[in-house]
Amino acid sequence: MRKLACLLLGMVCLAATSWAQSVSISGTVTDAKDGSPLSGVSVTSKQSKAGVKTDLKGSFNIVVAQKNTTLVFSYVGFLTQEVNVSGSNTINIKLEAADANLNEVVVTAAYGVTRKRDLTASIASVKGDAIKNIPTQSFEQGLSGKAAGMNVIIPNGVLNNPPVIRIRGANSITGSTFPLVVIDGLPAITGDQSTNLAANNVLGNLNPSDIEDIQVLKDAAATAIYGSRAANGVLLITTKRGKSGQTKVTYDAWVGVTKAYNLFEVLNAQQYVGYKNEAVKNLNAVVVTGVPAGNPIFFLDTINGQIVDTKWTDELYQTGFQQNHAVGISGGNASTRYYFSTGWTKQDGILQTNEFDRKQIRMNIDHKATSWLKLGGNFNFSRGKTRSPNSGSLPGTPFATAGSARLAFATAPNVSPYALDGRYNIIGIDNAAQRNSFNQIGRNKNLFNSGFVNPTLIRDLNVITSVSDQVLGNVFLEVTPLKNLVLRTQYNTSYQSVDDRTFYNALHGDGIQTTATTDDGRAFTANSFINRVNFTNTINYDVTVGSDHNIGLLAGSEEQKTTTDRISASRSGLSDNFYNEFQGNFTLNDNPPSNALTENYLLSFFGRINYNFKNKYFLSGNIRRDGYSAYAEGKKWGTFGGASAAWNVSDEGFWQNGIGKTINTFRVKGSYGYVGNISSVGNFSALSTFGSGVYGTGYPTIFFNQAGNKDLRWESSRKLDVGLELGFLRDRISIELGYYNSNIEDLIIDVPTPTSMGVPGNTIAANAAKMYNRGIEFTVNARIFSKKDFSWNANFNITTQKNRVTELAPGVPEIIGTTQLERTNITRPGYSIGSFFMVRTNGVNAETGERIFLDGQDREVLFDFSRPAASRYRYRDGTNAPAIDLSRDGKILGNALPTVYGGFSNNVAYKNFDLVVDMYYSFGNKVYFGSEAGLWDQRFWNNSTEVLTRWQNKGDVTRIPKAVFNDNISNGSATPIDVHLYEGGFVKFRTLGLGYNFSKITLAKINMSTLRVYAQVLNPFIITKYPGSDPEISVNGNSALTPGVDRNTVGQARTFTFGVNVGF
Amino acid sequence: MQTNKNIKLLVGLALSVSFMTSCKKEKLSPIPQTVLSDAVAFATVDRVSQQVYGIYSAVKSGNFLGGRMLVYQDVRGEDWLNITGNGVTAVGVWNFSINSGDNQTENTWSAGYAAINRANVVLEGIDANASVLPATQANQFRGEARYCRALCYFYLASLYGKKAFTTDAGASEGLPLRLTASTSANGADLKRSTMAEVFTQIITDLSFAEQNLPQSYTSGDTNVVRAHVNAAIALKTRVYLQMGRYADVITEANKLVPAAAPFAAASGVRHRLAPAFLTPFRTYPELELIFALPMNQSNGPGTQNGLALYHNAEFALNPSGILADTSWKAADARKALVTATTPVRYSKFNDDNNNFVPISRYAEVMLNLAEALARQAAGTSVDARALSLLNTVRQRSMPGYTFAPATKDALINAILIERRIELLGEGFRSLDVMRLGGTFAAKGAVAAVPPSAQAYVWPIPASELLYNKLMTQN
Repeated sequence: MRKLACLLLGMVCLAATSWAQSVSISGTVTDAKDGSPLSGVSVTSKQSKAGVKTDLKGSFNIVVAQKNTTLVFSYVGFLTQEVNVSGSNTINIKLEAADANLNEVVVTAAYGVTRKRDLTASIASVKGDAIKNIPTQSFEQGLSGKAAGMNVIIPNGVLNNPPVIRIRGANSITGSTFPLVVIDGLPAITGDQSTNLAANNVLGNLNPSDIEDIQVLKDAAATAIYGSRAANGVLLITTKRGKSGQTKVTYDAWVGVTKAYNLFEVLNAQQYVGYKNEAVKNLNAVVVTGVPAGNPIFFLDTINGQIVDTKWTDELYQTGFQQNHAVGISGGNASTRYYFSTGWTKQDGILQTNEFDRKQIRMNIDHKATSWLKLGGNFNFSRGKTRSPNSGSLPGTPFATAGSARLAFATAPNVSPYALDGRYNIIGIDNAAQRNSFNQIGRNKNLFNSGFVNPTLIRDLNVITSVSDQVLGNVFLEVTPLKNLVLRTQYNTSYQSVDDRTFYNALHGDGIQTTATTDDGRAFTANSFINRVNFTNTINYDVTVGSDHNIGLLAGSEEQKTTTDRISASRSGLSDNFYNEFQGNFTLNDNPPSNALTENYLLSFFGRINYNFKNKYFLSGNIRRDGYSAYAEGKKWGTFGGASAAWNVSDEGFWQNGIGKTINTFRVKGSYGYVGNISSVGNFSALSTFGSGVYGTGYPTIFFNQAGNKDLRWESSRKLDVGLELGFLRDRISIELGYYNSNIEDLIIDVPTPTSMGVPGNTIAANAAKMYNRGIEFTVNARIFSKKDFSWNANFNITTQKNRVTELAPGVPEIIGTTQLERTNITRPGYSIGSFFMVRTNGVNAETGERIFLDGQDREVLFDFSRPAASRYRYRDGTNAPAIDLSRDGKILGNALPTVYGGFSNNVAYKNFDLVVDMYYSFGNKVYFGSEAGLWDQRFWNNSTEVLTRWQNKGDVTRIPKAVFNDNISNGSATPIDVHLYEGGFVKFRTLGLGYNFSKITLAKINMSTLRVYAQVLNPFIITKYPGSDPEISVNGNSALTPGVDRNTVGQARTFTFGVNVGF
Repeated sequence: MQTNKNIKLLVGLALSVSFMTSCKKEKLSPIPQTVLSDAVAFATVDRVSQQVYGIYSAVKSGNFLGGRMLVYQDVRGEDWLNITGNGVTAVGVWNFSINSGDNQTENTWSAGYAAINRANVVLEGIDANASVLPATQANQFRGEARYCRALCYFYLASLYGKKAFTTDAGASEGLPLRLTASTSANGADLKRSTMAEVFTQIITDLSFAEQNLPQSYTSGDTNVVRAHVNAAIALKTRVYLQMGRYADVITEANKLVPAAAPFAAASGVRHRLAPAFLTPFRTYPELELIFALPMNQSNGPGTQNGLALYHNAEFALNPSGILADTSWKAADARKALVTATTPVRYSKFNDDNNNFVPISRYAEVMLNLAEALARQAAGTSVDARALSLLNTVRQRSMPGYTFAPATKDALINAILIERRIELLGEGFRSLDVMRLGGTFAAKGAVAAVPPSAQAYVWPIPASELLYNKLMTQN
């Protein structure tokens, strides 16, 4: 029967061809941009539907039925062209890249690809080329301002410190707010995986040059297919793949220098001595035994005839040299395509001894074995090494006594790094007991110790490194047993070992055990093996019913297991200062500092249906069921899903015949969905557990170490998105406008228990809180000029964001956010998450120089540290007041998350020159300049030059109270005060680059296809009222509870680079 | 053609099968490999025994009796001067400026109650696993748990009680008295019991411990680092002294101290004064130590918590404190630990990772007894046994020195001074000042703090006030 049908069909075909006049048309198709041949371009006849593909040289030959026909040239990533070929037998076509064309952009959607014009979801796209030349350690550090709805904050200038990324606001309270990052189908491990003070961002293992594009998935329609991991949005990373055609070789390189900016101006030695002695005089009490009250205790000293006036920033900061090289080789033929790359980057930071060194190799292969079988894989090996001093700038460390950032400004200027004999200047260098009991820098002529450690010594002798070796690999097999039915299986693996080493010398600083001199000198090591296996299977079926109903179906399953296995060791009692490695000789083996053995498992089933009618009306729905191991028994499974719709109004006849001449694209879309979040839950948070340890020597212990929660379940959010896309003047100007509303519930928080309950950690994890994020996004892409010799493309985006916590656990009025030792933020229903909570002040009393605090009842409380303790605080009427207490007297004084942010990028080309001007901005939030409290601290610390304007005489109007030695209260050093809370708005020029592209003709002579040289500045300017180094800062990393704190952290780097992009 | 089709189908089928079978639901309930679940944590005698050691290890926390609690008790007094001005190492405790949100306030409270909850969890665990243990064994473990709980309540009450017990016989607000295990969020709100109720519970726990603890353990330093009968009695003498119940001090102390020299415990572990003063601070086990918390290199008090750090770096002896007392002679072995340099260091403790932290020493019991006897003496008479005890303590460090007080008050005063010398740095000064209703004397730039001052007792931590709605501030 079937054979008969074939025969009949064949006869019909034969008959058809025999009647028509057939014509052969040939030609070549090239890239309009660089003239290179395009292979695999589909060439079809509009009339007869006959089709061929171009060969490796871009040539084609097609036989069509009649002379008067229209050929359609289409190619992924390029604008489709229709050409009427009546009367000619040869035709050469130049295809324009589709980059700027909203409708033709092909985006990697989850588990497949789709045309942007078919999207019902809210997705922003960033090209790899836009970030590859930015001198950073990891690609996501280059995303600032690149997409509406995505707020990227570089926390400080410490190398390889992960940025803070929040897509459409903070979507979790205690968990990470970092988006899910999917690299070529593998949901990647993210965050700083080092256990020591050298930051080690896993994403730093990916070479930014290898990235083809980045999709930012924002709404539930886009993210819900990732179910439980989608609440923070998704970054879909696609690495480069080969294209069939000639082998292409690219070489991208830059060299540069980096330097800190806006370092604090502090007192010089002369000013310090004068100022501190004045403070001692004002205190009028014995500070140093034997020195009468009020007499000077600080003095200038000379070494080798020079007055000791140390600029400690010179000892700690530097101008760092950086270089980066990346080579990519790609190519292929009709059946096999490959991309191979290798890269090396070596970057010195703004802090001395802060270094980043990454070597990397990648291989991506796609092979079409038969017409129905495709297979391929990716392999990436990367070794990234970070070395860092104790920067005091990572989460949990700003008050580290040896933190570089604070040492740089707080160490007294009239003490020297070295003593007269050239050895390090520390107290008791020849007397171990004394050396240990103080563990402080020498005091030169001062009668009072300068308190902190000697920054120069620890810079020279301590070594902190973290080395990450990561293999990211996947293999896939794709079978097409029937037309339009694609079965795909993909196995992904990420294997990472992180080797952390810390050496603290035996002379001074963190390696000192203070009392037991034999234990000095410490070394730690921790080796983490972080392994993730992900196995994804999908079935895709696309069908067109009739001619107008297009249906796409997806079903799939995914399982993912992640294990963390860390062994660590600690040694102390360095036998000889010769050694500075863990394997050196130590006399004592200490407790392992951070062993870990933990795992989690995620099992999912998902499905999606896309439907459109005449490519004008779109409907899409998806559903996902996830089981996650961390939740309580019976609460492990969650079902998530989203639905969306879109209408391409501009494809309607009434539109095209009317307003369509001006507004060529008009599209409305909307989505609603329900997604989960697993980032907030520890692997075993639901369980009540007993840990173990040792009591004394030889007595093993077991003890209650976690109060579990048998009801612990999914965190979930309901996300609504409404959007409008407009294109003017043939999409020369395109606009996207969106509204989002995300209601998050069942947020897992560590619900505090009264400390008297003695519950381990004083918290129990529970689904207790609610919060929402709402806002509007607006993006304009415009080809402002597009002349032959002059073009100007611009992208502007703006996002508003309103975050409100609406509910915390019953009985929990608020959660305090702590910056290591200092309570800075508060999360309270009715306010933005992590709002600032501080004590208010009312200036300095011009009569007396006292700090005026406002207590909880708005009463003025005047403070003078020189009075006896009981009467330091007084009301205006002179009666004693109780001490100012943050819990009682603090108030919420502003939100820490911006309410408006966005970016503005410009690409201008004039003849062979191109200019990149990228900026981004953020407004509506405050930043706590906690470092300023330290800069005003009246202990032995050095101060900012602003203290020279202190109150001295009756009538002085100033921000700085009377100097009283040892006063750490009036200046906010002990309890945060509103004085140091500033508007954090800024406009920042992120990159400013000028490039020159050598002409094709010149290059052809030396067998090059592209050569661009450029000079670029990262962070050239910032426009802000903020008085610190930089308002874009976060010493607490991406903690949602403590954003916007600038406390003892280094600022950002300004980097000048010179680079080349070469193509062969 | 046909073969191709078959392969296609086969591969397609294989993929479909792998799609269907990739579910491994048992993987959704992984068992943690490094912690025990509550279901099995009391399943064997060994585990229960380890649970009991777990209570001691909480008591030993560097934030509590392994370090800071004793430091705080000391530096509230006038015998120490703060050197470093470091906010995280007790300067606020020393100058009476800590507030409800300070780390010292929060961490001390939370470390004490963490130990109390461990004791309560173990007490309930023993009850719930009755079949695991023989009754006497169970009661011994209960005794250890209750000894630890009493110890914790005693120290917490001494700082956080609204008024010292002796001020109003315990009528003032004390602590929330938690006697059941907190393993879930239930029972968060609990009002404060009175000081009298807290002290009654402490005595009840210690009496239970006395009746159920063993006379001694079999080996090593177990007699020092685990509670036994004499440890419970020794603590009782301190608790009664704090309550001003001198007769009870005498009753309890008599169980450990014979009527006349040589002074040594007649039952249980044979405690006595070590021949040399420094021995109990350097050598273990040592019979003078009735109960002490063990330390070693890998099991120390933690950073910035140890006694030696405070005595030798963060603080120094106040030249105008007990150091200035004329009865403390240069020839006294205890004075040899005082450095001649400025600031004046004190090396009773010299290595936080090796010095055991003494909780009860025989010398203290002798002085507790001496004071109680002296106070109970009729009229103004000088109690002979009290004087003998005092002289014995003094003469161990300074042979040949003999007190000869003329009156009862002179004897009491001499004993109080002797406590400051003998127990210096072991956490007794604040206890002694407060039980006698005294004023904390001025020191350095810090003014005197009378009992009427707010700072006389510690503030209740902010976290407790925030989450326990029945809690009140001092």
